[in-house]
Parts: sequence; structure tokens; C-alpha cells
Amino acid sequence: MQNFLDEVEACVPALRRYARALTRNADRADDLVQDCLERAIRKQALWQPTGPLKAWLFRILLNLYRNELRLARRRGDHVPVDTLLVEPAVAPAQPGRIALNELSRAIATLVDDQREALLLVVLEGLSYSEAATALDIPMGTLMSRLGRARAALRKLTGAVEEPRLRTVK
Amino acid sequence: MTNAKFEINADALHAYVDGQLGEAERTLLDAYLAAHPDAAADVASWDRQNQAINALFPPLNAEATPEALSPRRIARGVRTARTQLWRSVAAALIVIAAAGSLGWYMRGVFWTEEPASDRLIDEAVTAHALYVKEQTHAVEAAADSPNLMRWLSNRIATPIDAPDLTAQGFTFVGGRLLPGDYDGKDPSPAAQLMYQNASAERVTLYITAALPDKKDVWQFESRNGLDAYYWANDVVTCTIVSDLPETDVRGLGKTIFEQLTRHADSSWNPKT
Repeated sequence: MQNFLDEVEACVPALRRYARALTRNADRADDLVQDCLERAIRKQALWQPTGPLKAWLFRILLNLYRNELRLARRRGDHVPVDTLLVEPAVAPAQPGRIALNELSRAIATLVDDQREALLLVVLEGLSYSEAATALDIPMGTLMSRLGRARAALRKLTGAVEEPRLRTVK
Repeated sequence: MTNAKFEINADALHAYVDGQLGEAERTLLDAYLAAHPDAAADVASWDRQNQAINALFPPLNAEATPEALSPRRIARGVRTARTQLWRSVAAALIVIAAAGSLGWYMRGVFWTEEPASDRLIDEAVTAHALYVKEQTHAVEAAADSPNLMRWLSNRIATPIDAPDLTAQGFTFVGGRLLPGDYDGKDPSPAAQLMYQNASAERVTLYITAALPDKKDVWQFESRNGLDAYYWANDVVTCTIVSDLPETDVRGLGKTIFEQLTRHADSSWNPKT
């Protein structure tokens, strides 16, 4: 039990970060993480110690997030992206040529599936197989979502990127 | 992405960008990218995306985790909630059990079964009203029929003699056998004895064997304009029905009681 809680605790910062990236709202993100932790601790018996705990936690988080999204859409909640945008407090190190606010908007326009996959791989450094487990999809699906997400982002942020050399494959 | 048969394809390029490759594979790809500017441009673009995304959503490691997100605290909450759940379940079971027992206990209050005395009084009054109007067939067997009382005694399984009410001015007319249903289940027999005085006023006695509880009961009721005086003890139940004044009926009751039960005067103890 103690061991389990320690391991869960080690994942909390990653869960919060991912939740923030998904929801773009720090409070909502933390609520989501809290629900996720509660559910994980309640269903601890369902977790197989051999499997990666982190992927399992992300899977719970994603399920909660998707449910919330579904409910919000059914209710017709509509939150303008700009008001939710979490701008980093400190200007980050030069991130190449991609303007962050533009990237932020571009990510917001991605299909849900692609956004979930891309952020999970890029932010959390989960192995592809862990990410596929967390997203509850086969590896091949993960790779194609990743590919489509990157292509879409490139297109959406292309104007600020370096002069176009070639088309996306 | 550390497959035995490593193939350089789009997936491999993604894996390269995402740092999912082993040393050997990365070296292979480095060489490939050096020779393929298109792929190298893809990889560079994705790498910039990765950096930008990481910059957009910086890690929270430095940020203190709120207490609400402490797994230990949440685990305590879950345990408490579980305990409370079990307590609520236990409490609910106790309430259900208590309500059930109370309901069973109170069933007599809400679903009162009609007392045996009420049923017998009803039947005695009904029979009285029915037969006192008869002139020629008021009784099934007249007072002078041989074995009348032995027959009725046998049928109600209790030896009875027709009480002598001549002192009160009543003569015995005769009797008949009637159903005597005291519990709504098996009708048992009852004997009706009829008396008449000089002014043709009639009194009937409706007699059954003692009830299973053999309790002493006295009950005086007026129904449908008739007075019914019911009493029961460990020998018989008897309902005296007539339209005489109440005092007369009560007076008759004592004489009949003494004669029917052969009990001493002292056990005549009506509360009503």
C-alpha cells in the first residue's frame, strides 16, 4: 500500500502537467487529477503490479477527461480557447521558430484523439507502448495519430516556420 | 521501437524525435538523415514542435503539489468513505430490521383481526333477527323434543342444559343448530336456544364451545336495535340477544351463566 502510494505520488506532477495541457485550465486540471487519483486508489486492486503504473494512471485520467468532455459537449458548454490559454509565466527559452500562442491555438484545433496522443508522447516521454496502453489503442493507431497530429501542426504553424522546403509526406 | 528487424520508416523517424530509440538504431538513423534532407527536415520540424510543446506546457516539478492531490491524503479519504459506507449499510440494515420487527409487532394495531367475540355476537344477532319473527318454525326442534339438548350438546361438543328462566317469566321454546364461526376459518357449530315470555317477547341464547383461549370475557353491545350480552369462559361462550331493556338482559345473563357453566355465583364477574 505504502509502496503503491509512493509510486502514485511520483506520477502526480506528470499527471498535472498533462491534464493542464489537455484542459488548458489549471483548476480544472487539478480537479481531474484529484478524481483520477481517487479512482486509482479506490480501484487499486484492479491494477496489476506487473504493468506500468504510470500508463494505468494516465488511462484513468484520460477516461475521466473524455467523459467530462462528452458531458460538456452534450450540455453545450462552450469555452473560448483564448480565455483559458495558460501562458507560461516566464518566457521560455527560444523554442525555435514556432510562436507559442500560435502553437497553442493549433493544438486546440487538433482532433481530440490526435491531441491526446501527441501531448502524451511529447510531454511525458512515455514509451510508445505505454502511451498506446494509456490511450487504450493499438500501437499502429498511436503512430498514425502521432503522424497526423504532427502534420497538422506543421501546416497550422507553417507560416512562422522556416520557408517551406518540401511537402509533408 | 527496439525491434530486432529495425526498418527506417515514418514510425522510426517519430521514434527518433521522441527519443524512443536505442543507441544502435539512433546511429543508423543519424546516418540515414545525413543522406536524406527531406527526412531530416521532417525530423527537424517535429523536434521544434516537441520543444515548443514542452515550452508551452512546462513541467510542474518545481511547483508544489497541492495537499488535495496527495495520494496519502486521498487514500485516507477513501478509507474513511468506505468505513462510512459500511456504517451506513449497517445502519440501514438495522433500520430495515427494526422497521420489519416493529411492523410485525404492530401488525395487530394496523391489521386488527376481528375478535372472536365480535364475530360470535354478529352471528348471534343475525340469527336472532332471523328466527324471532318466525311463528310456526321459530325453532328447529321444540322444547319437548326428545334428546334435544343431548343432540345440541353433542354437536357443540360441550354438555349443556337449557337454562330454566321461568323465574324471569320466560319459557323455553326450543333450539336449532347454527354455524358458529369465531375465527373466519372453520365454521364450528353453535346452538341457538329460544325463550319467550307471556307478552311474546323473545330471547335467544347463542352458545358455542369454549374458545381455544378459554378466557373470561364479558361484553355488552347494542346492534341493529338489539341488545347482545356476550360472555365467555373456560366452558362455553354464550350470547344473549333480545330487544328487552338492558337491565333485564343483564339480569338474565347472571342466571344463564350460573346454570350453563355450573360455576358458583362468585365467578360471575362482568366488567361491562
